[in-house]
Amino acid sequence: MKIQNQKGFVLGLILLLCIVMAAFIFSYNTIVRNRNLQAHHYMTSELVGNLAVSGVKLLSSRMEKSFSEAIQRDCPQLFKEPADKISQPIEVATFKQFCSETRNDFQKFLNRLVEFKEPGIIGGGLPVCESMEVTIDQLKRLSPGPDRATFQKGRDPVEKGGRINISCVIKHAGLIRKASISQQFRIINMVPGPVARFSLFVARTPYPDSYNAMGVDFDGNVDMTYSHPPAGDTTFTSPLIVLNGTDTEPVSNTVSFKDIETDKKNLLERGWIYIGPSGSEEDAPVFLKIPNGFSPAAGGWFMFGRPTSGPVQTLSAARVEAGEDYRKSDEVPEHNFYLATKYQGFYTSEEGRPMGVGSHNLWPGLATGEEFQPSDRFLAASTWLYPFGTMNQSSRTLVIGPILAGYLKYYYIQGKGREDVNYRGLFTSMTEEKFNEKADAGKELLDFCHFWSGQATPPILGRDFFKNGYSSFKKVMPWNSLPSKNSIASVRGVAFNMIFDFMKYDRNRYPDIDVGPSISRNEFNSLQTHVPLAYSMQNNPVKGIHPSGNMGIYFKDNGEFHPEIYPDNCYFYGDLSLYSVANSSLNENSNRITNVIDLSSCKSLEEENSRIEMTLFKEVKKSGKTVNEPRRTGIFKIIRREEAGTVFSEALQISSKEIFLSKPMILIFKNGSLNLNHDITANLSNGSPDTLLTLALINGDVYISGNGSQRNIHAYITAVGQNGGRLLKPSDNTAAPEKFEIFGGLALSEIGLYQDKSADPRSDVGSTMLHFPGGGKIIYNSRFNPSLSNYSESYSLVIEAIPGTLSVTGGKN
Amino acid sequence: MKDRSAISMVELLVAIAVLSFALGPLVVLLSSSNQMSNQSMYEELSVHHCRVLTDQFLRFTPKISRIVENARKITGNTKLNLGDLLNDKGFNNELSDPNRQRDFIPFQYLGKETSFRMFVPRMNDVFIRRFVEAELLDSSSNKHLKDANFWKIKVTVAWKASENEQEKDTCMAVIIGEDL
Repeated sequence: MKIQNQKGFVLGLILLLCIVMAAFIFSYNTIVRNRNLQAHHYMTSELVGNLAVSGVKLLSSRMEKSFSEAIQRDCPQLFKEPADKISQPIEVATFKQFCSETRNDFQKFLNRLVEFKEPGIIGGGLPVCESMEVTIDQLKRLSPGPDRATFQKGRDPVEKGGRINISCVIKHAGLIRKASISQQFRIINMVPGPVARFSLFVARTPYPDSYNAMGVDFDGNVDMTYSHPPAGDTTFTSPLIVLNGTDTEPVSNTVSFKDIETDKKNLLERGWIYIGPSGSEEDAPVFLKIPNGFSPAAGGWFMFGRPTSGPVQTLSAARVEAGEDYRKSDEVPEHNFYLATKYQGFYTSEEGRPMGVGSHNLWPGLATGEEFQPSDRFLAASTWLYPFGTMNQSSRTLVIGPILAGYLKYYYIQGKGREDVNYRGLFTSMTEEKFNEKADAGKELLDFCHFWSGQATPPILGRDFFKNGYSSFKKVMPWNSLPSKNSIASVRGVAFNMIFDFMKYDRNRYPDIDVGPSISRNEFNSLQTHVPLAYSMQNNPVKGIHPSGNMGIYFKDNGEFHPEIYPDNCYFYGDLSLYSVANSSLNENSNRITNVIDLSSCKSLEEENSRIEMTLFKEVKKSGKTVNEPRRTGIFKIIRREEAGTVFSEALQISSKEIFLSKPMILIFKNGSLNLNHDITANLSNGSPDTLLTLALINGDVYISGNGSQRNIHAYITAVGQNGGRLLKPSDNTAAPEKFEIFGGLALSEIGLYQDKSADPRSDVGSTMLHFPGGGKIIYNSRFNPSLSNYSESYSLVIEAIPGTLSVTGGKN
Repeated sequence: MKDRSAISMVELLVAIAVLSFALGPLVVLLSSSNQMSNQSMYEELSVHHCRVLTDQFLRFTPKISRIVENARKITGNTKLNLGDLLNDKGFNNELSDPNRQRDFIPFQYLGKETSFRMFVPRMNDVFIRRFVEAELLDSSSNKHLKDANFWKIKVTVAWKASENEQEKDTCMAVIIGEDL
């Protein structure tokens, strides 16, 4: 066998091995190099992605601040038109300026990332924000309907929800990353609902004389000697004053006459008053007895007319034309007299007469018989509730509800007889039988008067003076405007709305109550935002009483007053007596709600207090003191522990320090009461708080406690519900101010006294009046008025705090 | 013909010479590739460690004011801001500490811990340092991004694969706003 020559095979093998190894090692090296590049690329990619997310988040966080202003400026239709009238998606170009300015701001920040500058690039190499963009789509109305149930709750056609898409593109080291966020948003109005049209809304009144509990002297100063028996002999030291706007006016002898244009302005711009009936009947009357006197403290004469200019200010009298009932002055030889009438309020004491107007026995129907008894003194008490302001801050408006004005009207004769001897007499009241007896006996005029001074000579006999006997005399008998307190329906009396006309301060005449108030006349039929259902007020058995049942609150006086045909002009249509927070657009399932704060898992009230404060507010320094400021705008529903009752010891305290309102909020408390132990204030703009807060309690009371003599609250408080609904002070020894001042509005289930304390189903708690005999003040903030043109300024853009989706993609698209 | 052995001395010497010429660079290349591979791995891991923190900073955005308020209450320092918390020495020491017992590190200021914490996974021994630096950005000339504290937050993770190797680090940054 021949062996082949094998010389040189090792070298070949080694070379082959080397080549294979080299191939493997170079491949491995290439892979490693690529991986290394990828790792570096990964780092750069993460950096660029992070910067894109930073940019989009910063833009998003500015949306509620800067963008809200920008969107109102650049896209006003979002705040003025219903969702279905806006074409979508809204053009990006609309927000071009805002986005471009924000991009420039962000680029300035990126220019500070010098650590990440790409090497070798002169004057560049830093991350660049290529673009920021905002688009809006998926707009949808928040208000359901339109149907009757929705209108009863209050319906805002402009409130809407939608989606904002925000993106930010960053370019760096050859990489482009686009971060995008889609966030739900709502445009909501910070006006709480139909009650916001009212300065004061009281759903029900315990009994007709519920509010008549305050004693005043003849001159209108508070009578501190008077204690009100139905209130457990409480002395009411100051009234609850309602100023229905910030345009109040002092009433002096120079106060101007109010023409129709002023009337319209007052009715449109001021908050209305609603006071619910005093019984189960829809029109069970409520009496507001007007106090006497011109004292700025509590006098009520300003509701009848301006004061005279003398040092002792009095109310001007109105002449009575003698006509066919009485002899005229020139028919009586040697006499020169005139008949006049004066309006008088109620008072509980006057100089020399500690029992007040009651002891004059000027009106029939005293509680204990025909003659006045000291126990009747409470009938002379006047209202603690001043719906039209005070002498120094008069503020008339429309009153809705079966409210009757209580006042006295008396007649007198004044003249000169023989030898110019003065005499004057005040006609009294008497039965026909007694009148005839005196007339037949040839009694002189002074026998028909309660008060007489001077001597009328030659004598004037009653039977000669009253031409038609008793029917003529009846016309000058003292007159009480109020019907019997046992009336169950308003079929007679004087509507409180007549006072609106008295406060026109006409120089020539007092208004004629038989004609009814001017605001119920035809000229207001087409001005439903000024006076709803004016024509029905005219046709009411008591002219000027606003009818019970359905009525509307409209946005504009454009003639579109049919809610089914023109739903978008109607804010409310329904029965005010059926209003409650639970049955309003702030009900617990309302889609207006932007945030839910669930405290139900808390173990104690202290934990609830702490959590709610931390969630809603943040501490800031304001004028040298630490206050709480809202964290964000929104409508917040607050769910408390199930066991949280309405008692004070369980009342939620939302802030442990004063609140300064820098962002609008509506807080809805699903259950439990609220304890306001610190002031809540906002900056004033054009005289009223510029930031709106509503505190709405579905089932609970509002307690006012804490230090100081007065609690100031710039908010609309609405607590109208099945349970609770009163404004109270703590019943234990907790410190509480004597008074409150609410700058916004107040809606409660009940504030008045019960005729008998024990008749109060919540006698263990007590009524608002019992808790605040020192009164308070409510000033209406017209920014809550849905019928004013600046209503659209009350809309807020609320963007969900946590983005729905966040994505980072490569490239610009 | 006389049989001859398969490998001659010359052949063997030439083969050894060729092999030694070829193997030297290949071994160096292999070693360098291994090093690079390790670097890539550690770089990716360091990016991951940075990202754990930056993601949380970006997620914190809506809660920053609460974190700061909480810290102010606990420390009694009413002027404290987010930068003070992030630049705190104790907080940064704990970020790097390989022997720490907890996975969640609370924000703290001068030793006083707040109620808010960050998840910070422990790193292996190769990673020698992890720290956060917060720098306040000037927003005075801005039109919209203003009226707040804007922070450049830089997260750095440094590692050293072996004693002989140079220390390397990875930096990431985010920009967030703290409402005043």
